[in-house]
Amino acid sequence: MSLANAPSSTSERAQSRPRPKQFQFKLVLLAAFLTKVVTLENGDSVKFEIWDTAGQERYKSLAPMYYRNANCAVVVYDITQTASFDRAQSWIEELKKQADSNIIIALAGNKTDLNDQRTVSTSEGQSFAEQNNLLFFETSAKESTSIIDLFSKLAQKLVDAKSALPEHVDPSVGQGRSTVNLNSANDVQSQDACSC
Amino acid sequence: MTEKKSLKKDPVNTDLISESEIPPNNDVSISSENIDLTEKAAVLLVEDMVSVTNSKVSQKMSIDSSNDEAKPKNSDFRSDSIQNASVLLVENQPLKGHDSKEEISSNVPVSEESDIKTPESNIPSSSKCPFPNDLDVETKNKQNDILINNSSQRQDSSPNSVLNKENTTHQDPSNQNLSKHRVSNDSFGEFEQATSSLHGLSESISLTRSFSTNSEKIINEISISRQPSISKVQNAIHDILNQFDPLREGANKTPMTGPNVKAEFWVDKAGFNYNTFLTQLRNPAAKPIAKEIKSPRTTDDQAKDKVLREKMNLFRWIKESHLDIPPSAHNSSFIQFARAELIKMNEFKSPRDKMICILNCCTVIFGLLKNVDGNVGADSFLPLLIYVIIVSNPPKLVSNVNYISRFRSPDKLQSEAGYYLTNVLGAIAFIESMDYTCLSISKEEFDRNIELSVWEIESEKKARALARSNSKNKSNNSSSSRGYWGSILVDDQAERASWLLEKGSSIAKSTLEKTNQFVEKIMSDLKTPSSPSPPPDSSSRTIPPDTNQENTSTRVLENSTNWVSTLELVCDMFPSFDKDVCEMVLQGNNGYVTETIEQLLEMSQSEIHQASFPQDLSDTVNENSILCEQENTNEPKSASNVEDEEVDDWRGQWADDSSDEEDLVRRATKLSLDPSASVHPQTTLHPIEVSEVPPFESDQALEIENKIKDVAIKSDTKDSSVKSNGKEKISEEIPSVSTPIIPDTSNDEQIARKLQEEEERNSRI
Repeated sequence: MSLANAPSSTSERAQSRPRPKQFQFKLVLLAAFLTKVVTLENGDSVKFEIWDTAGQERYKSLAPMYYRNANCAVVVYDITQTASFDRAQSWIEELKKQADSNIIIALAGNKTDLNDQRTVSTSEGQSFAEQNNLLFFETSAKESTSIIDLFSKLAQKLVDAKSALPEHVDPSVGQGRSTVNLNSANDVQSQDACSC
Repeated sequence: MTEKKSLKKDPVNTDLISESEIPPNNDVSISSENIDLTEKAAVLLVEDMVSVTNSKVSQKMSIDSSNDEAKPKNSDFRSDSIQNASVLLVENQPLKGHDSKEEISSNVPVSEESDIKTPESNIPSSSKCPFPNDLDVETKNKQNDILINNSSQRQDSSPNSVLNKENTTHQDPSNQNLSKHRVSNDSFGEFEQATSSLHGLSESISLTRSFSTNSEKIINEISISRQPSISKVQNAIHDILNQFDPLREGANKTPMTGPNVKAEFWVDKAGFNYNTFLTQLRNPAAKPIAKEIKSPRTTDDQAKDKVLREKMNLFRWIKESHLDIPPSAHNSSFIQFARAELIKMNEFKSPRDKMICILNCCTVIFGLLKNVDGNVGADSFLPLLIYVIIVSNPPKLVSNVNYISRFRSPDKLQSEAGYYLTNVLGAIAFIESMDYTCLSISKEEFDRNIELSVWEIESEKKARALARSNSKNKSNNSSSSRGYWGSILVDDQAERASWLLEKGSSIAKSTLEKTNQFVEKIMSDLKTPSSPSPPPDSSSRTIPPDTNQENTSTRVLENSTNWVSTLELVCDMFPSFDKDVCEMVLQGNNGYVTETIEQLLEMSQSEIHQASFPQDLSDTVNENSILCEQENTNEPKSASNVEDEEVDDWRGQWADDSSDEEDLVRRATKLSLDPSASVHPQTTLHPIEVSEVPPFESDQALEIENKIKDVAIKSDTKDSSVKSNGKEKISEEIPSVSTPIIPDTSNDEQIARKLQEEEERNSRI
């Protein structure tokens, strides 16, 4: 089970670039909803339920329904678009205000494979994350860079946060569906099954 | 026995009888811990049911706080069910009396008495009980059991020999109350199996009514916080059904056999399974309960239903472009498909079945997204879902969704189901607050469209009023504007509504205003099992043109006119497939569009699968060849047999929640695609039941609905001795209702014949 099979990308990008074949296969199974089991070093496993939310402005009022019971959120921006970084910041503010106070938020600067077109520097993202006590990663969904790290770290933090044992999940449930889904509005909600 | 007789003359008793004429008397004194739980279940389960079945139950109950078991020491209730056929009067610790195993701690004298006013002839008509679909025999048994349990030693009238026999058993002087029921269990175990549930429920009813003072608080609590109260409700239901079902243990001794099983509202004392219990709500016997649980009167679900429905009606002009849904040629076919799933949701009873409808709907939408541009993110999904919901305007959507989120076990609302449900909730919230800022539309155009639809709705109302006056004047033949079907249905509906209610025109009016939707509903119901769309009642309607198109059915059999268009439709939806392939699959599915789409979707998925995993190629090829083999057999029977088996298999697993969720969904899709399965097996027996979902909204209308069903069933159970005038009259009406449907079935046969001919021709070619 590897996240190597699980790239995703924003919608514009998906259309403009050919995808790996495995990704196409995933697409058949996945939808806007995904399940991913992450196994930690100590053997604990955390099952992520990853919910995609509609990112358009007109649906923003619905977002609380999606993150209401979420344990963690992954806010993704596009390092080639400054506007998306701004919106990511506003999403994080909203999450801090409205979501569960224990929610773990990760900030991910996506599309590192397009480093030459970068408009948001690593340090910008890094410093914002530090100010707001977020996990920070720069990822490439296309090349699966850092995505494993991101979710392992999230899982570890979840387990640390909840002293309760994480739910042990039959790995077969997660297999074949493991993928990360991002959307053009730079917002991905993760819902962790272990503590729902 | 002498003691009983003397008790009967007890002035207290007479008091009670007279008292019971007064509206429900809720004297409650509760101080036991269990009561809190009990009342919740009671409220949920039974209280509303009491009013649905129109039974008047009045009781006075006081519960001794010193009793750990929270057993009522004095409980009197009188229960008049719909026909006022029987009156049960139980005094002093009925529970204790029934409990054969538990030790009784207090020394209150055990005495029971019942005043049975049920004339013999009324006994078979005891389907007035909350289980409208019971078979005759079963209801008899239930009646008997009530007599057994509540009357015990003394009976004024002994309706039949069986009862007499039982009575003699009970009257054995050596048997005190404590042992009485064990005896009866041994002798009449079977009766009790069939009846224990009713018994438990009737006691619950009485108990519940007395707790109704707190009901609102509890319902509120339940609706506010889902999770904590679910467990409480579980416990509560567990408690009440066991505590007040004294025959449970005895009944468990004998295995369930025969048709009695069907009517059993079964809760196992040892291993109460909440999910199974809820699944059992699907049982026709539980219909009234399910109905009331679905949209409890104490919540504003019904009002919300209405508001949402009107709002969606107002937004009927909405187009894909207003929600920025990329236009595509094959949207409409998929959307109709998803729409059918949504509308169907209201016809299922258990939260699980309803959830499956939502799952299916969402799966279809994702299927569309995959076919259009391969982008399956929420960005494209949610708008489409909103669009589908607005277009389909499903009845009672809020109630249904809330029902799912309240009663579906939270475990089962994880993952996919939870995500889709959240999306539906989101879509509802969006629609509720929708205005021009939410749409890609200018304010002017928005206002114009709204005005237009307001005008349309007004004129529709007028048209309906016209139709009503037509039908009242018995000018059926001339009311050609709505066509034969429309006029009959409207007329019939009006008659039944007004007659049954006897409450004047106000409710009948509101009912009739829904008639148009009712007719539409029937049309869509009729079209589901059969191909030919019934004559669309079009001329006088001002509904946008696509509404009539939607009536042209999602399921078209291959007859000369439809075949070509169907094929084109399918080819259109799946441009990636050869026309020949589409035709073949369509033939293989006997011309059923739904199955065809399903199969083609699967095939398209396996193609992608194939492309990405060459090592799996052989498997896929095998699959495909099997598919082709099936298609080439040209034996419609074999295909349908397979389908039937699957459906049967599926039905057998209703209570089995443990099966893999994905598998479940897939099978559910199959199930829901099967025409016969889309309606409950029981309901297919009664034509009137097929049309069972008129969008009644008022409580009274709900009651009518129940009564109508009640009668429909009764008319089928060879129950000739229905004394009640009202019932008799309604049952006379039944044939008139079924008449319009009969020609349709014959039509079906014709089409089936045509189909076979076509098949043969094809095979020759």
